[in-house]
Order: sequence, then structure tokens, then C-alpha cells
Amino acid sequence: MKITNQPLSEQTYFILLSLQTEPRHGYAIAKDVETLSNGRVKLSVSTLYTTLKRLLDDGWIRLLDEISRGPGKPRKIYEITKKGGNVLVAEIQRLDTLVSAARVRGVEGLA
Amino acid sequence: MTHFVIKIYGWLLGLYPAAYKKEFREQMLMDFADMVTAAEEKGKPSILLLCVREMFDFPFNLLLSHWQTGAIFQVFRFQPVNSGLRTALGFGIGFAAAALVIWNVSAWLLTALDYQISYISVWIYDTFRNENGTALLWNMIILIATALESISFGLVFALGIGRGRSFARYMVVGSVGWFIPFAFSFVLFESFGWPFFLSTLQITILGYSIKVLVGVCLGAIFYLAESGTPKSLRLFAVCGIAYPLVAFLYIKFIFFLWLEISPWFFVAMMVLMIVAIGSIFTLVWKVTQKMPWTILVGAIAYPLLSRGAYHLVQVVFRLPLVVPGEVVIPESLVMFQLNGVLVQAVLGLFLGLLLGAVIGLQNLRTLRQINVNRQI
Repeated sequence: MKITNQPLSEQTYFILLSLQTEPRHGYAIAKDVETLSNGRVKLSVSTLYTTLKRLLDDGWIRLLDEISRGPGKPRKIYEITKKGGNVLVAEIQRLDTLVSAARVRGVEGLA
Repeated sequence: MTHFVIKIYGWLLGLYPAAYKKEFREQMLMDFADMVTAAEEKGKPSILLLCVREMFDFPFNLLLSHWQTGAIFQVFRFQPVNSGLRTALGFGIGFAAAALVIWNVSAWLLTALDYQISYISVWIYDTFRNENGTALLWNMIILIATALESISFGLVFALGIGRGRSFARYMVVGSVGWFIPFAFSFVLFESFGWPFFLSTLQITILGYSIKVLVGVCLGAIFYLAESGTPKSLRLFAVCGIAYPLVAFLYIKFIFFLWLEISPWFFVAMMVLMIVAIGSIFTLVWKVTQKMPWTILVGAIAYPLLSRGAYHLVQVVFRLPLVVPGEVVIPESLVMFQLNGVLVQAVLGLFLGLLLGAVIGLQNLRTLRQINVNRQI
């Protein structure tokens, strides 16, 4: 998928933001998204993997490695790609522009 | 409890497409198990909340995964979905085509021949001093009109459902299957004005029994078309002539016995309907040596769906209500036809879906039986 000016969904935004700091596996991403959104965005497993698949297909994230964790089966670790990073930065800039516009007008509650 | 919840989730993940499962199933199950364990530490309501959240999201994501991998389209290749959809399409268009013929070709035929028929009727009365011939003449015209709509249904039925070389057989059986009940009911209801002698309830019951007959005939056409024996086709074609004729003679006989002014009139009419319905059922069963499930489904579904389709079209499309029997002014003719065609299309669609699904299930059972026999 091309990098567009289309706003990202909240799930996509938080997942990319979560992977921006360090590569993570699915459950770690879900927990981090919950923390980042102050408990507002709680990803279900099905939604998490639907989004991860889309991001993989679009080349915004990639499968880094598989690591074993205790006696269980290995976990798949995902990391953000350069393309994904650019999309995230573009989204942050877009959001920043929106918030700045509101601040310029001195909208109540933001000033 | 947590073990049970995780087990169910693992089973549900089996519904994802194969490629998706291969890539994500294990990871999804591990993540879900971790989430359940974390929720368990907070108490049982947390597990419940987690399950509810997953339950809401799961169907949409499942559908999306099937859509993205194209697996959703493979469902259409399997029985009974394939058979149900094909038949629904064939019946939906077939019913609509027959309805269009009724209002255009048949109506035109009756209007065009009105003067000639009246002229011949007067001649018959002048010559023979009775009105028997005139009733017969009108019946013939109505039968020709019914035959035209039957052929249009048969054509669509064969195009939608018949395959390759069996096209002609499907067309004949489809046409006759449509013709029998409608010709029978036309002759029965239009020939002698007998409804005058019955109560409203009795006419309603008879009306429903006609609908059952229609459902029976439409359910029968699959079995006869697929049985492929020339004998069964000939028998069915003979029924197409015999049923309207028997109906005509039967009513004439009842009037001859003066039964119409006694309570036995309704009983006699119900006997005729039961014999008509039962004989089609028996004929198909005997010829094909198989239990004709589609006939049973058709007999129950057609009367219910014909009422349901009428109301559904009024509610969904919000077309102006056209009361049956009301005089249609030319300005509202298009709306009237659109309304009727939509009702028939919806009715055909749902009936076809049901009958096709039944056929599909039977084919699936036969196929499994063949496989079992091969393995033995």
C-alpha cells in the first residue's frame, strides 16, 4: 500500500507507535497499546492479528524473528519497517497540524 | 474454566482460512491464553469481559480474513450452498419472468381475442342453445396464456438449473410443473363461479390448498428432471393435460349432482385438492424410488413464503399497495407490474434457496454414500 494522507485507525496508530520503540510479539503489543492509550484501546486477539496481517502485507512491519519463551512454542516478533516509520511520522505530523490549528484558534480546553 | 475457554477459542480459530491459520493460529492461541491468565488474576468478571470483547470482534475479523484470502468464494462451490444459490437465482428470475408474461402477453392475448371470443360465444349459444361451449372457449384461452407463462418459467428454470444436454428435459419439466397447478386452479376457480356457494373461510382454505399444490409441483420438478427417465416425463406431461380436464369435469359432475347447495360441496372440493396433491407426490415417489423431500418442503414453504414475500416487498421497497382485484389505471400500471414482479422474484428467490438447499443436501448424502461404498 502506498503512503497516503489518509488518517490511520486508532489500532494501527498505536500498534505502529508500540513497535517504534522496540520489536514485540503479539501479546506484548496488545499490552503496550493498552498502556499507551491509558486503557482506552483494548485490542482483542482477532483484531490484533487482522491488523498485524494488513501491516505485514503493506510492508509497514516485518517479522523479525521467532524466540522461545520458556517451555512453550516460539513467539513471533514483529518490528516496524522504514516505510511504517514514515507512515507513523506522517500521521503524527497530521495530528499535530490538527491540534495546532485548534490551538491557534484558542479552542476552549486546549489553550 | 480458563482451560475450557481457551479450548473453545482454539476450536474457533479453526474457522480461519488455511493460510491464515498456518501463519497466525498458534500465536493467536498463545496470546489469548496469556490474556485469559492475566484476566484471571483480576477475577472472573474480567475473563467474562475479555470473552465478550473477543466475541464481538471475532465474526467480523473472521469474515474479513476469508474475504481477503478469497476463501469466502470457495463456499459457493460446496453443497448445499451451491445448489441453493443456483436454484434461488433460477426460481427468482423464473417467477419474475412468468409474472411479466401474465401481465403483458397473457393480458394482451385476452384483450386482443375478447371481441372474437364474444362473437363465437354468441354463435355457440345461438346454434346449440346452451353456454357450455363458451366456458370451454374461455378456458382454452386462459390455458394458452398459462402455457405461455409456463414456458417462460421453464426456459429460465432450464437456463439456471439445467446442465448441458439436460436443458430440454429441464425446460419441459419446469414448464409442466408450473402449468399443472395454475391451469388446474384457473379452470377450477374461473369455470363455474362456484366460490359463490362457499363461505369466506372455506374459500381461504381452498386457496391455501391451491398454494400447497403449487409448492408440491415446483418441488416435484427437480426429481423428475433429474430422474431422466422418458416414462416419468411422459407421465408428467400427461398430468399437464389431465389435471385441468379432470378439474373441469369434476366441477361439472358436482353441479350435476346439485352438491353445490349442500354442505358436502366443500368436502367434495377438498377431496379433489387432496387427491391432486397426493397424486403428484405418489407419482414422483413411485417414478424416482426416492423420498421427494423437496415436495414436502415446497408444500409447506410456498404458502408461507407467498404471503411473506408480499409483505416483505411492501416493507422494504415501500411501493404503493396494490390491492388484488383492484382496477389498475394506466398511470399506475408500471408500479403495479413492478410490485408484482418484485413479489414474485422475492418469493422465487427464497423458495428456490430452500428447495435447492434440500437437493444439495441430498446430493451430498449420495456422494458420501458412494465414497463409503468405494472404501468398502
